[in-house]
Amino acid sequence: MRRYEALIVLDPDTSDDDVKVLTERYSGTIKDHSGEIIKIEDWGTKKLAYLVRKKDKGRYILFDFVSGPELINELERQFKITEDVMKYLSVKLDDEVDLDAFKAKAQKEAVEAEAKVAVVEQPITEEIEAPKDEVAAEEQNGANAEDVPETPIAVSSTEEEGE
Amino acid sequence: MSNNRPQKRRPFPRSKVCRFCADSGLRMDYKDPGLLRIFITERGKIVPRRISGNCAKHQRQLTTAIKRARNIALLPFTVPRR
Ligand SMILES: [Zn+2]
Repeated sequence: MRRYEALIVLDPDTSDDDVKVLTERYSGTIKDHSGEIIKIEDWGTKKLAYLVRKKDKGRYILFDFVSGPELINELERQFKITEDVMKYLSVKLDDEVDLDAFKAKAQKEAVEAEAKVAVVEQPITEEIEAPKDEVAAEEQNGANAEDVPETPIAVSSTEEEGE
Repeated sequence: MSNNRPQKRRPFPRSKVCRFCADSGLRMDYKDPGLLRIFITERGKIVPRRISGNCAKHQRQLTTAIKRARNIALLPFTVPRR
């Protein structure tokens, strides 16, 4: 299993209902290919750095998930044939993710992040990361809140976009 | 800056140390155009590392991040002259 991230830009005129439909369709695709969704972020409508299809705005949606490599082909094929998707970019964040270990680790980091927030004000760079972890943790809270080991589990490499 | 030899005006102040090495909390991410913008000129070009002072490793990561951001319209490829 690998960890991926897919960022898509939807037509700014897409209705909220349609955005929801599309988001659900793609998360469905991810699950159908036995992928695990870590988080989905809706960045809302943002100004584009250049015109795309003569539009200067776009709706950004980010999918963060763990899956096998076959899913990316299917997902990109769907992005390509969907009229409302103006642009898409998928990035591999990590090779060889052990899903269970990964969940446990996300859980542990979230707890630590929360503790940090409570003690001191965090520098900007960390604040950006904190909410991510919390979202990831929330999904898993119900599942394995109890059986998280204290010792860090050896997850191969957590470096983003490996070297 | 103690370096005040009479020189041609440079658009960017040279910096000696790699900012990403100096501040390990600073993460390169194509999703953070605000940070990446520090390293592009007003015409949208990537600032060379002899100016920005980045180390080779971080400059490499930086260009990747900037190119990804360009691809998804978070950063411009060029900023045309008016
Ligand atoms: Zn460096």
